[in-house]
Amino acid sequence: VVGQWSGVETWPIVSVHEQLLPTGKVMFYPYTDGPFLWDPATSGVIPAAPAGFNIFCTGHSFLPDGRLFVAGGHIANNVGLPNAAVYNPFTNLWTDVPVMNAGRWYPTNTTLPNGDVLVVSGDIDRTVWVNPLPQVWQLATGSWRDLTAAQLALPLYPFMFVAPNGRVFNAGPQQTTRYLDTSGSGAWSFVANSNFGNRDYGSSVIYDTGKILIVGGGDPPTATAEVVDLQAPSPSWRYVSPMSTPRRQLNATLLPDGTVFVSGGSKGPGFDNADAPVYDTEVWDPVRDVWTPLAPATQYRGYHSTALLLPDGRVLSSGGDNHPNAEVFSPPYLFKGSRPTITSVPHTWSYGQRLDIETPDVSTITAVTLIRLSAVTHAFNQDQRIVRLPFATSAGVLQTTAPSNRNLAPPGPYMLFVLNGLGVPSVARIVRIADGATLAAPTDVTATATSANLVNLHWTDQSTGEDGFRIERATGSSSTFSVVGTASENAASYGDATTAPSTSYTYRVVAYNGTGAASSATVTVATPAMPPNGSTGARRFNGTTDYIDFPSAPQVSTVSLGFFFTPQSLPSASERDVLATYGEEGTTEPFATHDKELYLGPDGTLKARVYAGGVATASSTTRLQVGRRYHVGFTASASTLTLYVNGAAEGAVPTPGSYAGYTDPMLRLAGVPEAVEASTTSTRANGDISDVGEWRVALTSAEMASLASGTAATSVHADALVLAASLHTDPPVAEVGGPIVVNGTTFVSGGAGGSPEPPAAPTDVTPTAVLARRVDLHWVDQATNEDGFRVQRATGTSSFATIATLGPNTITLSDTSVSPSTRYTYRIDAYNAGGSASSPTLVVRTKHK
Amino acid sequence: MTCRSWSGIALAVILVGALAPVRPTRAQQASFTVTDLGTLGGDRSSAYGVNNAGQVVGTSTTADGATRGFVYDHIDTPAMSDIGTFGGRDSMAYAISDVGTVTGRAQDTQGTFRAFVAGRAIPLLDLTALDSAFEAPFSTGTGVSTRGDVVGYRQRHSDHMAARTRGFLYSDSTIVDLGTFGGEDAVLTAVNDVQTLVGFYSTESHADYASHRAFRVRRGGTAEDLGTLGGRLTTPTAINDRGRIVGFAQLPNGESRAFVSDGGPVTSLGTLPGGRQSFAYGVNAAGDVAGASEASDGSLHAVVYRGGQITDLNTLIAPTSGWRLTEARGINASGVIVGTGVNRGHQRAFKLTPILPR
Repeated sequence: VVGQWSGVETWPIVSVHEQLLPTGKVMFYPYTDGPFLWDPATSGVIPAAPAGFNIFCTGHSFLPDGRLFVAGGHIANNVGLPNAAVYNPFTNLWTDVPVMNAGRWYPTNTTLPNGDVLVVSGDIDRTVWVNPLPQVWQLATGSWRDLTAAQLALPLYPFMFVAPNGRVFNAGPQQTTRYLDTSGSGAWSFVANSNFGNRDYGSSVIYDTGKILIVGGGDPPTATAEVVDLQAPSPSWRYVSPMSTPRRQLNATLLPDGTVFVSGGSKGPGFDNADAPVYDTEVWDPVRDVWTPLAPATQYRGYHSTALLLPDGRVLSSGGDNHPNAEVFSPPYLFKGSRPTITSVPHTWSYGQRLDIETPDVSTITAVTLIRLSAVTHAFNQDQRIVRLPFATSAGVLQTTAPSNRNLAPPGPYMLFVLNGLGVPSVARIVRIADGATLAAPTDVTATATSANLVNLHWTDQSTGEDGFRIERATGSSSTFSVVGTASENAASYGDATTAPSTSYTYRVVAYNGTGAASSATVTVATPAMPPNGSTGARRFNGTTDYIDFPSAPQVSTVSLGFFFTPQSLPSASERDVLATYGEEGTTEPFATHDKELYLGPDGTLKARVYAGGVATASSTTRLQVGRRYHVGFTASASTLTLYVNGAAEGAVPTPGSYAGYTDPMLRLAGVPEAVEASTTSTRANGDISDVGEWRVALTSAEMASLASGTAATSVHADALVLAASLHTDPPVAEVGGPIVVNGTTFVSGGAGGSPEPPAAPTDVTPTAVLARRVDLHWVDQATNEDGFRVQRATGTSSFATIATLGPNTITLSDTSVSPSTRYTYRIDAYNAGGSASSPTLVVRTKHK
Repeated sequence: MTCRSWSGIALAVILVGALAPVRPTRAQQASFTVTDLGTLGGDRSSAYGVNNAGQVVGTSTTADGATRGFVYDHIDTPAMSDIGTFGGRDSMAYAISDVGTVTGRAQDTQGTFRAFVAGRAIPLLDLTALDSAFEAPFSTGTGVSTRGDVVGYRQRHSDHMAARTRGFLYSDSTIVDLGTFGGEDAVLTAVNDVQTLVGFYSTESHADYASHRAFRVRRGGTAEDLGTLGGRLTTPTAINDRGRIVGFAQLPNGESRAFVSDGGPVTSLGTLPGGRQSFAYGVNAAGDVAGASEASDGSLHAVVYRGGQITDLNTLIAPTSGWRLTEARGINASGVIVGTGVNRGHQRAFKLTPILPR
């Protein structure tokens, strides 16, 4: 058994950088500030929020709470940015932190045993060259600590690992290997020279406690590999068995069984010799010191390629210059019979905590391993490491203990695998090792009835160890609460789209984990009466003379569409009320061969229909009622058409045939002109439509639900054509691929139909002084047509200055540019092309140091 | 310390050579006074060049967190002057000629770095705006001669896969594209008064940052390869008027080593005892070299190479000074050395002034 590669998936960009997030999604980004998220379960790709600076050429590693710390960036070749930022995978938000001492182009991040992050190397530019100052990002203070006594010119993207003694070991790629003591002002100490020499664009892995592999690299490339045991009395490098073929620009990936999977690279001389690709893969068993050949890949994965271990035990291999695609490798252990399973395990672990892992396969389990989530670029994974856990068995339970030595397992997110005697791993559970993980009741809960059918909840997360939040609701005077939804760990908001008009609800937010739950105080809110048609700011379409075309060039075979719709009336028995058509523009008339259609039937049933070598129709179970506002949409992949109403999947049918040959696709919103479809029963889109989004990827159920809740993550909007009632586009029209036409009039970005109405001002702004150097801001988005928000701050008697500009639908920001014991005044400014509106001002005083 | 605008200072005549070059007879016996050049209001500064008049250029952070190129002189009250920008936030000043001409890079209102030349009472001149063919997403000046010649390079495209760099020479008010010297990319790093230019060119497609070789070229002449120390990267940083070139080159083991070349193949300048890497950044008329070397403590120390000897500059200042001198970037004819160190925990530009033997 040599394993098996999946087919090649086309991705929108080259994955130069790639991280497995604690949400289970994979973030990847290219040569620009354009990150995407890939879902291993569906292979769906959606854009993630941009960082606000060019994150190409950054270093990255995970913080103890599962957020990703990103440092450096790209101005030009060898010219680095001094920026750093934190990406929250649970909220899809980036938060800037103070800049570093100078630019860093190709730095390495290392999360330290105390959760701080060491950043080393990276070029400032081609005059100053490498930044010699190691710096430590200090979580507690939100500031940088300079290791002024340890200034040294390291190679770009050096191999750095936390060693058992707590120091950081620099294993290459240069021949000299050293320890860096990050305490105080820092100190280097020589360890040993490796044997081969310069292994530039080789790779390195910490494959066991204190044991490090360096493999490949150099020019011409070498097949050799070496190891060092840092726990030996006098550590020295020794050669181990070489790979079967030389490699440079390779990736080395730790597998759940402790072996190291090597993929990609070039065996030819030169920097990135695509004429000598290595498609063969192989795996190194450190116990037997044996390399075993595995199935060859089909794509050249050279410079700028990435590979990482997925929670399901497969390896994602992607990218490389000129290779915007991915393929997934199933190692041989997935072909050795049934897999053990983990049925229950605490999500958050404290150091030394005794833990029970529930599995029906207790008797067959022979190993329990933790593998830290990956953050990989340029042939080096800056975060992966393995911890082998001892365990005992009991009835239905594996009894184990979380690592007690933080040098062996720095705090942060890990995959937990259990393996049977054949080496077959379970699907991993993602757990988090953290200091003093606590479960505390959420505070500052606010509930705002945005509409009759939507209540937005916000709260302050006071826990460090929650698995997530339950949103519980009681109706009217009842004291019986029931769960209406859940939110992920670290979440701070939720939208309840299951409310009825003119109803009083009492909410509470409950933080929970495997050991218990903690409930917030309750908050009561009343929903308004159903608004009259049009009052939500939606545009009313009659579908006959009033419709909108989006000429564009998305992938026809994979598309998602979602928007809010309020029917004015239901069609007659002989009619269909066509809300949107999506498909190929005919040569003589538009939509002669449209292949997807969303329409309302006489009984209020919503239907999504696809025409492609046949016809398939998905029907809703919900019957839409006149005057009520619904979020409707569909996701159509090459295999499945799924219909959503208010975020719930209400119909899924197989896609009947191929879309091959379709070109020049077009979305038409609100009906099919009678003149075109006179022979059909199509009529009009008789209702109000707002917040239209079109995606060139398949949205997940969770994402469609997020859209429906009105709390959509930025990522869901980022690559969409978003058409608000005011007829502006986001992103600009250049990404649309063509003009926007309304009633035959062509509009450009931001100017369609004149200036939009200014957005409504945000309300309920709550600045919270979390730390001496951090203020967390939350607010309620009252607008549906904002381009974004400006966070403005004043100190003392100074005037307001904008400290951050955020995208639409944003509701939080952490301001880490504050000083201790200082009084600040904040306001949030919602804006669009038509103007802006400011929230009331709020004052907060930061804490003492 | 006061901050002021460089271009706003009244013109003062700088007499080249008025300061007679004084060299210690034996480096080991020499000692220096060390001057903290301060900042422009922020908490960090670095010095990258010094001319024979003792004026220093470098970068400093400002009170609002920007990084600005500075010129430090002692004409009036010793002080840093902010070199300014093209309307953007940051700038860097990297080289200064004996008549006070400065070059580097400065951001415009769009955030693009643009190569500039400036002088006393002369605002920043955008070099790549002189000819529309030079418009670029990134450009910088890197070296300047007393004659007024400026060299630098520009990256021609912002898209990573299409990015290529080409060297330029600004001379007699005209900017000239000097191409890539046989490579796919080239960068010019320094120029002297007889118009000998040094730089490096790529030896690999699309990977000049991973593999490049040093060259020198007389204006209008053919580039001459300066060889290697066995590694993939050879980087010249400075040239004096006698044609002595210094820089640093990679060894086969991946470490860098300071080198010198008088036109022939580069030769290693060695390291401090116990060190594994060294760098040469500046050379004066006498051929003395300013640089940095790893020392036995595993960190970089500012050094001077003189008379075939390498000396840790930290041993030539008062032990009670509170300084750790990290790297020396420039040295002038008087033996004044500038660079970057840590003064009582703060990263600061320094200036070392020789104390003359009694």
